[in-house]
Amino acid sequence: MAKFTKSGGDFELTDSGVTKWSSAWLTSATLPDNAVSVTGQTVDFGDLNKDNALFWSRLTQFDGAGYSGGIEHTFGYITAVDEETSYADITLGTVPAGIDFLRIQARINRTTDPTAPTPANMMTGALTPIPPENEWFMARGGFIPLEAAFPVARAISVVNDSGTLKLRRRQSIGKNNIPDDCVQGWSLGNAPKNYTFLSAASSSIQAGIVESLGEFTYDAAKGQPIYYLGEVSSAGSADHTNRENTTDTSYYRGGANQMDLTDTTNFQSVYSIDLKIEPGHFATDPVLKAPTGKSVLRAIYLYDTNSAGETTTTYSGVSIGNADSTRQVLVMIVGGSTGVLAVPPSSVTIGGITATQLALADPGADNFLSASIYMAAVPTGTTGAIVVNWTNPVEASSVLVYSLYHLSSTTPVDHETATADGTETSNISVTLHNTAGGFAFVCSAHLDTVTNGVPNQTLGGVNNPGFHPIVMSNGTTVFSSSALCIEDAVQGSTGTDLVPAITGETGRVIALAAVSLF
Amino acid sequence: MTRVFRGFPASGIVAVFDEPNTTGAWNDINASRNGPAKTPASFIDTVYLHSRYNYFVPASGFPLSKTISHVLYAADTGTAFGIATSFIDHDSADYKLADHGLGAVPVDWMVAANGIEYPVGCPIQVGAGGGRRSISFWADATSLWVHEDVKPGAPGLPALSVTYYVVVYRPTGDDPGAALFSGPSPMQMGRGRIKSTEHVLRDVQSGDSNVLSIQTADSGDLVNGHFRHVLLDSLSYDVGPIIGKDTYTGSFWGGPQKQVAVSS
Repeated sequence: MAKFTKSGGDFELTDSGVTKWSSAWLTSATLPDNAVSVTGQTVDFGDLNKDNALFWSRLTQFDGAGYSGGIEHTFGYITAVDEETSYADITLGTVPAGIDFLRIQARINRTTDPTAPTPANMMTGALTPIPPENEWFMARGGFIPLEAAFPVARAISVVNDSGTLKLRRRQSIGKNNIPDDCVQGWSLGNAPKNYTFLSAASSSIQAGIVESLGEFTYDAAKGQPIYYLGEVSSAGSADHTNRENTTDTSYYRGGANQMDLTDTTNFQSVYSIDLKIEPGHFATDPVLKAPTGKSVLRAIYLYDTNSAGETTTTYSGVSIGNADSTRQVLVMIVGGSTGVLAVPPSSVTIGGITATQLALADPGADNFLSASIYMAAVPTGTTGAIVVNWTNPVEASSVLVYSLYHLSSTTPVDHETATADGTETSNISVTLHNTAGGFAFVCSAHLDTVTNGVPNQTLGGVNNPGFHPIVMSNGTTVFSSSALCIEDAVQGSTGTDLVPAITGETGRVIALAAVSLF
Repeated sequence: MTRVFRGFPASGIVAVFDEPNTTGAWNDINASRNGPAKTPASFIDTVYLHSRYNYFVPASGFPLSKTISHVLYAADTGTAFGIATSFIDHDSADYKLADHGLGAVPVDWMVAANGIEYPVGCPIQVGAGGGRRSISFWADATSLWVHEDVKPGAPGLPALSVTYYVVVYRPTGDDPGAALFSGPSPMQMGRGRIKSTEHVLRDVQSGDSNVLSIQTADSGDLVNGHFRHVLLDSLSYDVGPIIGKDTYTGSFWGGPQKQVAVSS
């Protein structure tokens, strides 16, 4: 039997004792009266900005009597010049103020494909649409990556700009991202080592030994090679600027360069795009609607792998959700060092406000890492910088950010830590008291000099739907791994204790910090 | 401020909302106190149910779990251009996740893998040699599919088995045969929008075992010819020619996401 009742100020629809709907819930809804439909919107990405680049190489041979001859090659590429282009926004319509999200369905049809030049296009077959064409797909959040191929990335976004829906187009052309050991997009393959490569396309000829195309493109040609022109072989000359084509062994000086420098590439893409957009909301500000008066806005995982030697790590412009006088911003922090150092945070600020340490798991000196949890009251602003000061320099760090509203107390119900320094033969766990309807936060890290894995973290004793391991490394030398995990007690707690644990990591440095709040 | 449940048959409206004031008659749709019922878009934060809103109500048979075996892609042996070798192989495939039986493209659907929703075009697998398997979820009038767009890269991509948690939502517009509010069994509200026999998407509650998310802003960015995708509080993928190198050079870290779940 279904019932519709009012209890404690809220309305509920129940069936056989099971709540099917409640005004206390943050029921997600959309506003069809304010829907925006777009059909056949043309989205044009123009051809790339391009330039020519030529290589010349020479191998000089000596025998016991001295110079014995040489081999020379000239070959050319058309390169894409790096760019970060934001085209003019396309206005799609308007939505009411105060909406929380956009439900977006999109359908794309590429009406103009990049042309495939003759004789060869290095991107042929690769610059293809990522989503399926001519089918409806969800684009929740609004970001739609359209093409990703060396060295091009193209995307559109549907954005809510203060009530005006806009279609944003961006084209990004990279540069200098081919390392010496390039494995994707390019490989030097059988490239002759220790040849001297010179660029005839640059006004500044580089005379050094260039061992990678990446260095060449950075120093001489900009952008990335996209089209192979062909090759001219010659020998016996130091003058590469006027080489005459030879397909046999003859060669000349002073002749015309026979290489065809005609650009037959065109990387323009044009799409016809259909959109079905409905603005949506979560009934109200989450602060006011959670059953217990509490709510948590799960923010985002941030990591800094370029912090070599940093004693201060700054994460700028971090989204911290809706401003509210009750908002507390909690961050879970992991730091790692390649040195034989202890690396606990010495202080943390969030939006310029000094945060309070709730838990710190620090294996101590010689153990390279720490896991900690900090929190601060940040009543205003929707973004803020998170600044972590370290007691010793770190090589990498990560933070996971949450905004909490209407906590009964900022004093933790419980906080626990455990560590192991790599000499133990057992794993670690803690018993964390919690209050049903509250929140539990668990942060863990481990050191592994071999693999870049994730600590095998579990939360025994409760249903565990929100297990989210993440990985951190310092980006150059894999020296450690870490994980930050979250379990909302509200999701699975029955009032029993949580038992966060790290298992299967015996003999490694591990750290675990846990806090429960209500 | 009082939370009220009111119906206005002449206007075809039923709503649960917080009265902004007590001005006017309670049963007058034009009274100031009933503003949230008359123009809900102007009172977004205080309307909890409205017969002009659409809700996320799973279609019959959903949620469900479906395991997909994504195929292996062999190594890209490369194409030589002069002294350089370019790995330009590209593949794609589509796998059916479920038949939804709605007879039209659904209004919405959500798909999670390992507890995390993947935005359109986000890689679910990356290879050591820069390969990627990017997935998108799409629907036609009969079925829901996962599309993969693949660059195998020099080493290729091994097969991948993924169990997807799939929710397809039914249309929640007016049911012509339903009253504004009727019961008792089944009980329904708003011309069939909310029914006592169905479930609805709402914030996470105690005991929920499958958590979904609604992204409220961009989930990706592109800089230096490379994408960065940021997933719910845990994963970020930099996607480009050479994954894992210092390729993406921007500072995007994603935006807020709201965790939600289907009611039991």
